[in-house]
This record gives sequence, C-alpha cells and structure tokens, in this order.
Amino acid sequence: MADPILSVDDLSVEFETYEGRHHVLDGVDLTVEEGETVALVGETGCGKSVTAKSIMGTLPRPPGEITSGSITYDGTGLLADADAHARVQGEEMSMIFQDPMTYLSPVYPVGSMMADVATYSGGEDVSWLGMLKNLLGRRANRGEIRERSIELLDRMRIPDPEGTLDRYPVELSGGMRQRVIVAMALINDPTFLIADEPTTALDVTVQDQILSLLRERVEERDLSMLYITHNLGVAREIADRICIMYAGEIVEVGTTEEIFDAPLHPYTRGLLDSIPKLTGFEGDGIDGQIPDYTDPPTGCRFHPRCPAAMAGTCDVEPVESHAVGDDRAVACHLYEDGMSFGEAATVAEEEAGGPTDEPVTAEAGGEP
Amino acid sequence: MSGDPLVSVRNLEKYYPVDTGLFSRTESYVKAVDGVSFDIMPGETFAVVGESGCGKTTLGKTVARLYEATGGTIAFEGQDITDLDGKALRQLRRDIQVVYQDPSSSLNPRRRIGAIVKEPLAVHDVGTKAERDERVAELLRRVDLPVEFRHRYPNALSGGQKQRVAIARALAVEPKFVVLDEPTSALDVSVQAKVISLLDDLQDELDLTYLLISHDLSLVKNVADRIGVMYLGNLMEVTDSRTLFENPVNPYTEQLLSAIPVVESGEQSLKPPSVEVRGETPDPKDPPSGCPFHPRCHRAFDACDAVDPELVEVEDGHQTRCLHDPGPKAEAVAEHRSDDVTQEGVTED
Repeated sequence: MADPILSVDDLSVEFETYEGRHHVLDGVDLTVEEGETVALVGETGCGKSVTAKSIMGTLPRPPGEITSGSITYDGTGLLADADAHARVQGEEMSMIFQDPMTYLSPVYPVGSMMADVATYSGGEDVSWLGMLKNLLGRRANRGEIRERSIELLDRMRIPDPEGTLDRYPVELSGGMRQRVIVAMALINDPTFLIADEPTTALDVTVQDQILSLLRERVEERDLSMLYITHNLGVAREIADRICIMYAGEIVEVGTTEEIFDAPLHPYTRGLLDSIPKLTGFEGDGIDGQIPDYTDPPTGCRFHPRCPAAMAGTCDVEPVESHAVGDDRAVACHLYEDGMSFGEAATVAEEEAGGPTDEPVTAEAGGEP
Repeated sequence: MSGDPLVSVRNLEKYYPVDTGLFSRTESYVKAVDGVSFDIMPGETFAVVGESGCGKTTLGKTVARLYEATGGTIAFEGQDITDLDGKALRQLRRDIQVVYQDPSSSLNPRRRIGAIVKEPLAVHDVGTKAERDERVAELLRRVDLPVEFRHRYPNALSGGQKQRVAIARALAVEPKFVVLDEPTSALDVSVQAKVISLLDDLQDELDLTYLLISHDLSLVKNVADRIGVMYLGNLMEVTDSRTLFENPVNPYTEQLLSAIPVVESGEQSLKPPSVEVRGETPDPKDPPSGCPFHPRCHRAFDACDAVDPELVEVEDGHQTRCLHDPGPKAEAVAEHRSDDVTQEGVTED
C-alpha cells in the first residue's frame, strides 16, 4: 500500500488555562489515504476540532501546546517545520467550517472574499501596494478569478452565480452561504479538504444537498478529505473509513461498513445504541459525562462510563490501540491479544449481554 | 379515535407584522402559523416536525398561551382558552407547562437549582415553605438528579443535567400538558437518549400529554404517537407515526424522509423510495403563491402555483395538504387543468 497522504502519529495537545492544564488530545493516531474520505466522529468536547486545527496549523498557541507526536503530509513533517506547514496549508489544504455566518465577513461581498482567498492563500508575501490595489478591486488577474468563482458557484448549484458574487452574506440563505463556504474552500484546487461539521447548522433537506455536492466534487477531483462530525448518520453517508473519538483518544477505526455492522468498542456501541432509529429505539444512552481534561481518568479514559469496564485493568493500565484484522483497530483492553475480527466480534456480542470473564483471562496471559 | 381531546386547536393563526418605512407602517405579515388545526388526546404525544423557520416553535408557544393568537381557537379540556386572561389564565398555567430547547438560556444563571425548581410553586402558592422544599427534593430525585444539586448554580451542571432541571421545574406544579420545544437538540446523542427515556417514564407515571416540537424525524418516529409535518406555517401531513413513515402521501414528507441520514442498513428499507431533494425554505415574508411548497416540489403540476390546498382526510386519521388529494379544491384544480391541456397526465405518477 502506498503511504497515506496524511498521517498523524501519537499527537498530544494540552491547553494551559487558569483552571489548570487541560490534557485534551492524548496520543491521537490517524491516517488518510489518497482519495479517501475519513470521518472523525465524536461528541461535543472530544477533541475533534482540536485535531483538525492541529493538522491545519491553526491551533492557537498559546494556550494550546503540542506536547508530542508528528503530523506528516505527503512525506513532509509539518510540526517540525513551520514554513513547510504554512506552504502545505496554503497550497494543498482547505478547510470548510460549520457556521458560515462566523466565517464569512458581513461587510464584504461574496466575490471579493473569494478573490481574497484565491490571491492570498499560499502564504506568499504581498506588498502593501499590491494589497491596496487588490482592495480597490484592481488585482492583476481579476477577470480570471471572477470566472473561476462563477464556475465554482455554478458547480455548487447556486442560482445566478454571477449575481451572487456581488451579494453580501446576509442576502443569502443558510444553505447558500454554506455552498459559498464550500466553493471558497475549493477555489485554489486543494488536494486535501478538512470539513469541520459543515452541515450541522443546516436543515436535513439542505444537508442532503450539500453532502451530495461534496461527495461529487471529492470523487471528481480525487480529493482526500477528513470529515468531522458528531452525526454518525452523516458519517455513514460520506465516509470510506470512520474514526471514533472519545475524550481526546481515537477509540476505534474501521471501514464504514465494519463500524456500523460490528462496532467493537463499548463507546461506539453505546453511541450507536443512543441514536433513535427508524427501526426502533430501545437505547438508554451512556451514563456519565465526558471527563474533566484537567484531571482525566487514569487507564482508559472511557472506563468510568464503560459498561464493560474491568476493575484492576481498565482503570489502571493505559490503553493501546490493538489491530483487529486488516485496517481495523480498537483501543480497548477487551481486545488486547491480537484477536481476529471474527473473534473480536464474538467478544463484542458476548459482552453486549454483560461483561464476561473471558477477555480478562486472555488479557492476563499476553502483554502486547 | 375515541374520547374527547385534551387539546383541540382550530384554524390557529399567528401573524407577525412586518413594519417598514419611517412611520413603521405595517406593510405585510409573516404568517408564522397560518391556519393550523389538530387534536391531542389525553396521554398522547403529538409531535410537530419541520425545518427551521417553519413556525413550529411559534405554534407550541401559541398553544401554551405564551403568545397571543391572531386568529382561531385553542380549547383545553373542552374549554376555549384562546382569550383567557387574569385569574383564569393563571390557573391554566398550572396545567400547561413548557420545556425549552436550550437549558443554558432557560435557567437563570444567578439562581440556585433549588430556587429555580421552587419558583413555580411559589408563583402558584402551592404548599407551605417546608412542603415546597420537600417537593423540590422529590422532583430532583424524580429526574434522577442528586438532591444536593439544589445548592448548585446552573453553570456547575452539564447540558443533560440542566435539561433535567428544566423538566423538574416544568413538572413542579403537576401540569397535565407539557409543550416540549426541541428538548434534546442541544444535547449529545448519548445524553439525549437518557433524557428521552426520562420523559417517556414521566409520561407513563404522571399521565402527561406532550406536544413535542422537533426537527429530528428519527427521534420523533420513536417517541410520538401522532406526527404533524409543518412547512411555512402550515401542517402538510398529519397521521400516526407508523403511517407517516410507511405510507407518506405528501411530497414534502417524502423529501424530508428521503434526506434523513441513517445509521443502520435495516433503516434504509424503512425509508420511502428516494426522491430528489431540492431548494430551501423560502422567505416567510414573501411566501410562494398557491401551495407553499410548490417551488421545491418534485410532484408539482400546473395548478399548484395558483390553488392553495387544504388539509384533507385521505383515510381515517391521515390528513394531507396537497393538490394531489384536492378534496374541496377539486373544482379549482380542474379549472386550472382545463386551461392547459398539454399538462395532462403530469400528475399521474
């Protein structure tokens, strides 16, 4: 297999605040292959956006601090070399945000913002005179940029793309603004997209339309995408692979079918059970709440809420990610001795009925 | 259906004036609720679903008498409450309570939980001071919160816990009817499930009737007995939750169902055949002529932009508002069809 286009290894991020030091990310491992869409799924406050910002290089530092780990994009280490990071961020990556009204300026028309993105991203130095010229709408290649913007807005199925360029964000509906945000992210032909909850603020019917536009574009240009969401249903629609995140740790990774057909980690199962489904809903949620990051639980961070927690193991020993079959990993003591996917699924089944002793004995034997 | 409805709403209207110009002349109205009728039976959960801006929250608040209705009537236990005021309205407030969407803004950050839950008791002058304290403890226990929480402030609680406090406050005066306005949409799914099952238990135990306002169809399917689908101030389809998903007849319902992202392969088969979803809710200040949904409708025909359909009963307890089931508007539709013979047959699908 070729090297993944993006790989995040053992990323830890801490935040220094007046409440104390928040240990937010705790050894996050994540890969995105070329042309693949990976969804990062987790609940509020689990560290999804911190991960995205670290990759994008927009993590505010301080208060944030990357204490360990590396991020490699297409063979380039990003954390060690700030210049390389800025170059990759400008030329290769683009980010789509959740709430268009906070990321679009209310005082500039859409066209001017799109032109700014087209001109300034890439991190080249622009002279003051150049900037002034641009501000006055006299940029050198403005015809070409305008054409590109119109073409993109048209691709996003915005009616009257040319007129839209001269409108202000307040004149557009929520769905249209989100389309503009997507178009803006695409204007410099990025190869890697980070989408941070792009449809969360939208109605389902609009969400459906935006998702199919994104999917279309990703396929057409063979883009790689990291899609961040809290909605498993959305992840299922768009992703090839899914990473489930809980309290700053990736607890389970697998292809979309595997995650939904045979979730292994107790958190993933709890999460899936919690979602009301058309087929019925008997889930009872997950007890407790996400931990305090200033003093995260020892051992597995999920153990205080875990229905299958094993005293003496889960609350003491830190978890590592265990490979289960190809392309599948789960960070849980239940799956410690390198079992195959079939075995693990059996354990998962049994444990769904109630904690069994079996994994405990297995775990006592072999330390990986 | 047998028995008398607990809540009966007829042709309810709530218009907001749009003031423009120097002297604030009222130029037009936003028809947030535009002639809505439904009944809620005792012990039932009636859900209103719709996209943002469709008027579902306004409907809930108008039914709870928090907003004055512009037209139509609301009856509670057979009594017309549309114009109730003074003492009678105060009395009514004990029977109808509301739980709001965002507990962070519906709970006063400067008061302790105990005081927040006790307030309705004080307002309605229920019991002595000792009895009220006892009642607060009981309510907190009932919503699965530790009684010590009464000494805390809302910001010391998580979102799910705050919503439990809001529920406890609503239940303090033993209401019969509770309007739940998106009670879980500010919460994470793992917390949402807990709150939903709490609401479900409370309903059984205290014999409550709910009006649930939500945008989450999968949630509503599991919680509600009957569902009304709302679009631009109008109910487009009303039926029991099973029929709505198995046999939707209104094109808007079809589009909504088609757009829900699902998490199980089994769910896909429960969705109606996928239809093309297009467009967005238009500006309510300037709604389309005829059927409000026609510009986005995949089954629109030539009469749709001229004739406004009515809510028509297609089978027992199943109503739809669509010119494909024209009811009393059949004549008007026929008139439009004969105008343009070339469109013949477009409607048959």
